[in-house]
Amino acid sequence: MESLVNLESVSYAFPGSGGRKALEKVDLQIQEGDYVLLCGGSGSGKTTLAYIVAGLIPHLLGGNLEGKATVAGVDISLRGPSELLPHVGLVIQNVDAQLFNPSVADEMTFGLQGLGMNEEEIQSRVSAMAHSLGIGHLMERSPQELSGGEKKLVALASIASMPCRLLIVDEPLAHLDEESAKRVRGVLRELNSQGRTLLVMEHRVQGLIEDVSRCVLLDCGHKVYDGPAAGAGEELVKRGLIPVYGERKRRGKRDEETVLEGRGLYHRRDGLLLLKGVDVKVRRGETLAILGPNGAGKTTLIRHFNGLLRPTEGEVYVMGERVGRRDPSEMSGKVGLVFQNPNDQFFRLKVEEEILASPQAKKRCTESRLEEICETMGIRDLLGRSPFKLSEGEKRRVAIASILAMEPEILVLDEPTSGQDGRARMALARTLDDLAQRGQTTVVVTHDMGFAMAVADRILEMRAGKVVSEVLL
Amino acid sequence: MKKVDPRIRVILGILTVVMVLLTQRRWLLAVELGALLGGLLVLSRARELLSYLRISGPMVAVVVLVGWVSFSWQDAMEMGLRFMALFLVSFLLFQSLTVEELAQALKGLGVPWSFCFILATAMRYVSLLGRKLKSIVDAQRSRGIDLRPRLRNIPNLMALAVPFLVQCFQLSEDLAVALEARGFVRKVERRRPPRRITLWEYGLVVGWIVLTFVVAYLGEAT
Repeated sequence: MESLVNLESVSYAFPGSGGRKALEKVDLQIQEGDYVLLCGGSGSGKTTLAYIVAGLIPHLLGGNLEGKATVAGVDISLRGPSELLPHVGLVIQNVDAQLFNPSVADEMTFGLQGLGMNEEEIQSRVSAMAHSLGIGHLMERSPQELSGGEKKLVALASIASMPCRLLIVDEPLAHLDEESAKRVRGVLRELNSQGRTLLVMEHRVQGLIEDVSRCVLLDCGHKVYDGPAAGAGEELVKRGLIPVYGERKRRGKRDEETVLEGRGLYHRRDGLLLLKGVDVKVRRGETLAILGPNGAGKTTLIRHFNGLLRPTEGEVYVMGERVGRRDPSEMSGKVGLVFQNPNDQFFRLKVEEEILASPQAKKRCTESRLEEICETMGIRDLLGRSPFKLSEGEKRRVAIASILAMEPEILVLDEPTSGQDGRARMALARTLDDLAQRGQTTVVVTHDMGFAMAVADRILEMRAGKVVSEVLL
Repeated sequence: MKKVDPRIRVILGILTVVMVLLTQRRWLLAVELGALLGGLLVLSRARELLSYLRISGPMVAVVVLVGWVSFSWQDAMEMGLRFMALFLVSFLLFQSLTVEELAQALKGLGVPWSFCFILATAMRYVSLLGRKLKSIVDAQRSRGIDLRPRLRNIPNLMALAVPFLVQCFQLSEDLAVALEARGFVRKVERRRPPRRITLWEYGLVVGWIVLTFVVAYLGEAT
């Protein structure tokens, strides 16, 4: 039987890469009905492979494609993505770009109209898919108003409503909390059970590995494992894709001095109460993790710590001083906030310049301190490189280094594991442990329970704008 | 206003712009400005207007200043009134049209579908880009980069411009990939045919054309 996807000795180099191969001699056969997990660290070539199978490479992105690649018997080097559309549907990682129509209903009909279906058939397919994925109530809403989990479901529905035999889904679980991730996983299982062939790229492999029939592992553009999912666990651990956090180093005696305190914090925005009387204390030298699903109010809470947001009611005190109406730029020497997306802060040409870009860092960061930060963050070799060309894990470490260079009393990290592969998460956990050893006070906001357990001395759980539990580790 | 076909609304908007540009008398410009403000009151858009004026106000002030320095205060007044009226026309037009209606109207007026689609898509991304910009501002302020509106902070705007442009380019690249992968280039009629334009809507356009000629004539005659 002919494979639905057949790649034979496929190599690819992006234009302008100087011939450096993003994929090297990859063989891959996918049969009808397979559910394949394609995993690997950042920069391993997962998305490149997806773009080849979808026909975007070489037709849209150019570059040099070698080897033989066919999908449903169609030679990819001869046919572009629009001609492959009846066979292949692709959901890209960036859902904001994927969803470009004015309403969810328009998203779902877009591809079907492109296939030339009649109105009756379109409506029947759309309503069946909306019902199957449980998104019927969202049909008239703008995709931009939806939550992260809902956007992922709509993106999936807009592709799955087409009669494509193969669905390629790039990082469906990225940035989702556990509940949303479970829902998306359920939808993928459902689509596979309906007979769809699935190729899912993901580096958050725990959980998903139980759903798939086969696992393909890429490393630096090479295929290093291709076999049943049941036997892939050991390889995934060995290659650091499933993080195994080490023992935490012994910490000193707990300090009871409170360096940051939020008292009775309420925050109202657009008529919604996002914080409902939150009381929080951070003690000197501790690592506090704030856990909770998306929309629990975690990010809203930490934005009060440096004055980015002002509470509707309540007060925040840092080192005993009221934050009040002080500007965040004045607070940066005391509270250093690292944002979820490191790309929000990079604007210099070299990593070293980026680390020393802030006025506080220029004032406080001596050469020896810079050395120490680079040592702790493991970024010494990156100093001369452009921050824009780093891997996601490296970007995160540089972003943290740039905040540490300001020598803040309290380091606050917003979702530091978001979009990071297992290796990067383990490296980050080690770094936070090192910082804790040196007495750094840290607050980590995350929905990654494993990471929180690995780094925190204390965990606060938030739901619906309230702290619902506190655990001392 | 919502009952009027979007194509007619676009035509009326274009005619009003022509009318403002043809107006030669200051008192007539003031009347037009008053009528436009009246239109805004009818649409109950006072709040949106205030935020719009916050953006356009400084630009109008610059135009008046340049006019005063270069010509005379009378010319500066006229330039300011005309500029303000043009701003209000565009504000009214965009308040009365959704992005989707604008795209449909342009397509109905013969503009190629792919152009209308791209225009509408670009406009839909304005709010997303606004959120991205806000996030960049917050990230830089949290690093101690002072972005408060002061002259000495102008060099700090680089810290906003670079990440914002990088993210815009990234988004446009991802959007191109998504459009291509979802068959944007497939030559298929993607929207239902537009409704028929009614007789009174034709009458409205004819009336507006007559009004435009009257305004142009008044400028010449007085």
